[in-house]
Amino acid sequence: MSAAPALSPRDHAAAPVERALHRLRALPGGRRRLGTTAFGLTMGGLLVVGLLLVLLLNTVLAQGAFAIHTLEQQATVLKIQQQQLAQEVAALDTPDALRQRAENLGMVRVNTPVFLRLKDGKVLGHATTVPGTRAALPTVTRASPAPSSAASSSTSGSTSATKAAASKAAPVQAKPTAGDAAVPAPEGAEVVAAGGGSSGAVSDQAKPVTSGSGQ
Amino acid sequence: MLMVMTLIVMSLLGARLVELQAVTADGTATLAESQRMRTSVDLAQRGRILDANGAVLATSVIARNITVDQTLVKDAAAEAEALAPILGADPLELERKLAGTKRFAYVARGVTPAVWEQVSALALPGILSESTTKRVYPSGSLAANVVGFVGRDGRGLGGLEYGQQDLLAGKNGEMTYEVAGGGRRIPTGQEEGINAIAGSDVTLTIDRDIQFEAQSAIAERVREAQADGGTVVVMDSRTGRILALASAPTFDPNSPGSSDPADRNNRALTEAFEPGSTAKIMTMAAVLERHVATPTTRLTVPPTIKVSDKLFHDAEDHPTEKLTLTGVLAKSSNIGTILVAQKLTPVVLYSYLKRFGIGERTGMGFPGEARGFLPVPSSWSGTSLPTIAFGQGLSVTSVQAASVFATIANDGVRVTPSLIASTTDPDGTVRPSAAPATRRVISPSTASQLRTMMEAVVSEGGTAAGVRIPGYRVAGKTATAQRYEPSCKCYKGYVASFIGMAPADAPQLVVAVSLINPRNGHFGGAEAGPVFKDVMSFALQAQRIPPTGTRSPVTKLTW
Repeated sequence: MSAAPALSPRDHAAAPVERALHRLRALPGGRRRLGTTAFGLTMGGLLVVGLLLVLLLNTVLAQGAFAIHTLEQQATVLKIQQQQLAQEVAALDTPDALRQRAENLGMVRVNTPVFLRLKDGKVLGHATTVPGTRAALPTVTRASPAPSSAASSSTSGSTSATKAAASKAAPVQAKPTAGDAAVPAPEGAEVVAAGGGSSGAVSDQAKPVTSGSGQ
Repeated sequence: MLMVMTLIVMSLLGARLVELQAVTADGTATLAESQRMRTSVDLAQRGRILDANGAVLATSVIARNITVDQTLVKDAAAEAEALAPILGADPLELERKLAGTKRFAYVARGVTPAVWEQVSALALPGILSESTTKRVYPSGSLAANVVGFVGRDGRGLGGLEYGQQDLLAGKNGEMTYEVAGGGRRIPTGQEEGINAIAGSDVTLTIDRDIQFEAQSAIAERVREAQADGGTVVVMDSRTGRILALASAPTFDPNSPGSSDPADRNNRALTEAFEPGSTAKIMTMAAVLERHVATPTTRLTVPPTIKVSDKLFHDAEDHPTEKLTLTGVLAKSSNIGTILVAQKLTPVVLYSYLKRFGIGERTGMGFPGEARGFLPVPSSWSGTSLPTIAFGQGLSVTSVQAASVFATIANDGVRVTPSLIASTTDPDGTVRPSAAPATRRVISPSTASQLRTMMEAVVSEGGTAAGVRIPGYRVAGKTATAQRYEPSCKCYKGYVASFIGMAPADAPQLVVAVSLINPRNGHFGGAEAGPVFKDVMSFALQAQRIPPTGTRSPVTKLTW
């Protein structure tokens, strides 16, 4: 035991390697050589497969190019269509066209702005009636005085118009109502423009102005 | 024998191969490349022009130019005959375009894709097309004098189309790529180039509804009064934003060529005229600021007054009147104005006019804007001070005049007027315009006093009682100015105007109306007043400005 510390690490490591070498044996048989023909066939096969893959790739790419071309053409056609329609909408949307249609519906311009404040129902401004004639509204077609349907109640001033239709009268000429010129306001607005509104507009804020009691 | 033949043929083929591959290789390769390389211009989409609420005032659409290779045309007359009904053109004129020896000429520009489809279906020899874009203005003449128009090449030639050309145009790109037989791009081929950069959208401060109202009101009035023209300016006095800028007569930017060039100008910005009595408000501002007089100061106004060697009259003859300063403004007395103005020095009056922005461009950056004219005090003669005090001998544009009233409406702080609210980059980034420059011109108390004085103008006994809007407090001033005609260097005709604000006790809107050379009548209140009333009452509704519910103070005009 006294000699053990004198051993170098090298000597210490050499012993197991030698032991391992003694255990090695040569195996029978030699390297198997691939025949020339087989090698050629393998290589040829690889080449064919490679070429086929390239061909496939190109075909797919070409197909993609065709698809892109077709889709681009479609996109152009649709873009042209969209622009055409946008122009038609724009033509209908101009202030000029809107005024024309409003007038055709019998709406009248208000020169004295009047506002209805939803908070306290106060009418701001000088309320007056606006002169004008009522046009026949396209929504009022039924002859029976049925309870106001959603369609007819959505049109301002339609109550009296419905009555007019019920009694088979011509479009009301006299007594233009406040509803003729009511300006719709967005929901929740503190102040509602209600041009030409009569006092009826104050007591009945939630509904469109329908009273026929213009001064 | 066969052997020899084969040898010869093979040699020839070999020689050709050597020639192609070695001798002329470069040339052949270049030729092949040039046949499959295509270069096309990538057209930049021009930015749109929008109103304050995003309604489109100007946009660009896909279109085609129809072109001709005249050497391929076999029968020009027959082809012209076939094209004429589709293009809506004169066959003879078309024939002239088709006949000749040019390889390239335009037949029609900017036709719709649908029209080109019809033309292309005819398969006429020599008729070709190129893609382009066309500028369209869906609302026609609406705000045309602000938006402007473009030339045949799509470049802006007038208005903001011209002024904002660089921003709107973007930058065309150019793509070079390889194509196969049918014109399809070769997917693995080489490709290079620069993509087009689209232009930016420009959003205006204009509200198209108010603009339409202003335009139709002034156009009708110009017709009725047989005037040479007219302008309307609607301005938000707190922000300086111009809500409407109308000029009559106007034009259709979709076919600018068919209009009088003068009608394509924005008269409210490019034409300066002597303001007349609306300028008295600036004299009154100086008088009040310098404590020369107060609104209730009593003045004895004689029928005429002689300054230097000139005898001044009022618009209507009158005996000696006892008017307050408010009465002088309400009745638009020239002589009363001269009486108080004479207590100011030329330099003081000049400095106030200058601070109100007279004689300098408004700072809106509109192309072709006039500066107006304000002579420097050193050049003033003995009669300059009294003349300038009631608004002759200096010139302003309609927008400058509106800005003066907007300053008074805004408690004495001038806000530079603006027309462009923001621009939008092609990627959607919105860039709001820089905040406009502001400067204090007069004190808030002076501004408030002036507004009360101007309320008297529309009261009974004032010059414009007809412009009152029931329920609202309106303040304003009429003017009937003699018009200086540069061609004869003389005074010829009138400019009738009315500029006012509402609500008078908390102003939000200023409307300025001018009528150039009205033929039947020339008083500002009667001529321009009705337009003011129409436009102001509409704008109050459109901007949802309710009345303040207060009453106008009763002011004494006489004593």
